[in-house]
Amino acid sequence: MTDVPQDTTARLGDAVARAAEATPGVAFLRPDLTGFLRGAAARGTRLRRTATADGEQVHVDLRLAVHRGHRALDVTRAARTAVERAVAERLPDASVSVTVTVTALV
Amino acid sequence: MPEDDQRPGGDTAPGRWREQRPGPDDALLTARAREGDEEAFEVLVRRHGPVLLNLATRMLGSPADAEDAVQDAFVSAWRRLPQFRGDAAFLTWMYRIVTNRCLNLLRSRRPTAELDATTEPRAPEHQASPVRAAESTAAVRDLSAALAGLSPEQRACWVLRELHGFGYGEIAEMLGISRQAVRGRVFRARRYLTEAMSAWR
Amino acid sequence: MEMSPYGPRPGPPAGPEGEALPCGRALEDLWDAWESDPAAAAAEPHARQCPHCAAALADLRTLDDLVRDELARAAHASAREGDALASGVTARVMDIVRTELRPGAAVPLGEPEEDAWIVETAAARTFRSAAEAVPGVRAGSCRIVPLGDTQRRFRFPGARLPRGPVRVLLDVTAPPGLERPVPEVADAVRQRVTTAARGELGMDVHAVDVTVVDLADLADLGDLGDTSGLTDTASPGRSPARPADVVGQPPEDSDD
Repeated sequence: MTDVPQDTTARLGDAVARAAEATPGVAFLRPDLTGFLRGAAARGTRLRRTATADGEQVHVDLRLAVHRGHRALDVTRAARTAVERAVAERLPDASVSVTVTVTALV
Repeated sequence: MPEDDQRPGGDTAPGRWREQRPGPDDALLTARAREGDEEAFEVLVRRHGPVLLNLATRMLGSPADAEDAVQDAFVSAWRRLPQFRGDAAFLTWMYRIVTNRCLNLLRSRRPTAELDATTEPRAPEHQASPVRAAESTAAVRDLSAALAGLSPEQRACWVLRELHGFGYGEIAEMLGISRQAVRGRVFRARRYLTEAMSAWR
Repeated sequence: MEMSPYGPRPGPPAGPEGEALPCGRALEDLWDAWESDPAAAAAEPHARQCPHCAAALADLRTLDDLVRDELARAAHASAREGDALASGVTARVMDIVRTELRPGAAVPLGEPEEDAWIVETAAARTFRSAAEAVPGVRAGSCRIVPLGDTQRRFRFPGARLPRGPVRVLLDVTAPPGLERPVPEVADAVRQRVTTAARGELGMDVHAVDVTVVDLADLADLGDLGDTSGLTDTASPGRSPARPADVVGQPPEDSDD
């Protein structure tokens, strides 16, 4: 199962959040992920790493607010791509899945 | 006795008996807030906060206590909105929540026996009066002080009827008592207040 | 006409307290008469001559004047400091409310195999604004349900709708005397909502059920299930029952 060091996970979470926040149209991430970043690692369900037979599986649950004037679906797609890329840079062999939920339009 | 429930204002007091009427807009905003739209709820809070603060201040005699009571009432309303069926207007519903919260506060404050309605008004509690000295006549200050001499239930009935313009039936529904009981309390309150204030004649 | 000692208005002999003035007139009767018509109460033959009634009316008038003063003071104060107080209360209430949001179910965005969602409250807000772009229209309840559902059903907080197309259930009001007939208003609303779903959200909305409620019916808005307003539906790929005079333009399929 989870046999990866915690600090790696924390740094991965940090990279994932920064990638998502940098996506055009993203206003902010919900406290869930931010709380995780600030060390509330108990909230780790937002980023789940699972070791499997043929590598590692990473699932990211992303909750974000979108700026009005941006199409919500397009922003979720861009954020997904950015997050996938951020994970691939650090864990090239991992397979990545991302759930994106728009929690507000601001 | 007049059968119509609403107190007739006649032409002597235009608009006196209703400080605010809920507009159709309230129903729309309530429907939205019930579905979790907190922005709609904020509009309702902003719109009806002042009159409810007014009510709570008249009931509790202290603006600070009134603020707490109204704040708690709105938060409780937000939590209960999903179950609110809209059989009453939002403002009437809020009046009910605020009035009952004030009554509970007053009852817990007053463990002693109910004051005898025929006693003289207590020494005026000007410092606890909702009325700012600089802005009101001494008579109005004494009126608010005299309100403190009423039982919580009498005060609620009198304030709702005379200062907020509700009919006996509406007050009865709000407080969960009979219409006749409301009439009795308004009568006793008025009896007490006319006597207390007769010095101002 | 015979004068009773209780005055010209026969009725219950005494108020709830059974309290009568020394002249025999019930105090509550006298007050009721005054409430109905202050001038007439004072002009009653009995009241004009009776010192007890006159004194009781004078006391009541004094109290009434004070009530007016208090109402005037309150109106004046609420225009100034009252609003500041209320703003403070509003801010504190909303701080608490924002920690207890009810976002509703998550509604699918995009293609069936995608894993993208939007919370119902955010989407509903978009649809209400879109509907209100139609002149005179104001939006109330707005729910989003799976296409197969025709009514709201309870969902646990945080629940997700099944992936796939959805239906929007929207209640709007239109002012009476609007120049356009109700079906046209409903149609305009439907098109705005459909456009917003596609253009602003990227949501696959296949049907928009618009219920137009008369302003006059608003008192009963609590239960919108059976209003006299018009409900009609535009659903491509289905044969919705709708009035023949409604020219509904079915929403195009969301292609992304």
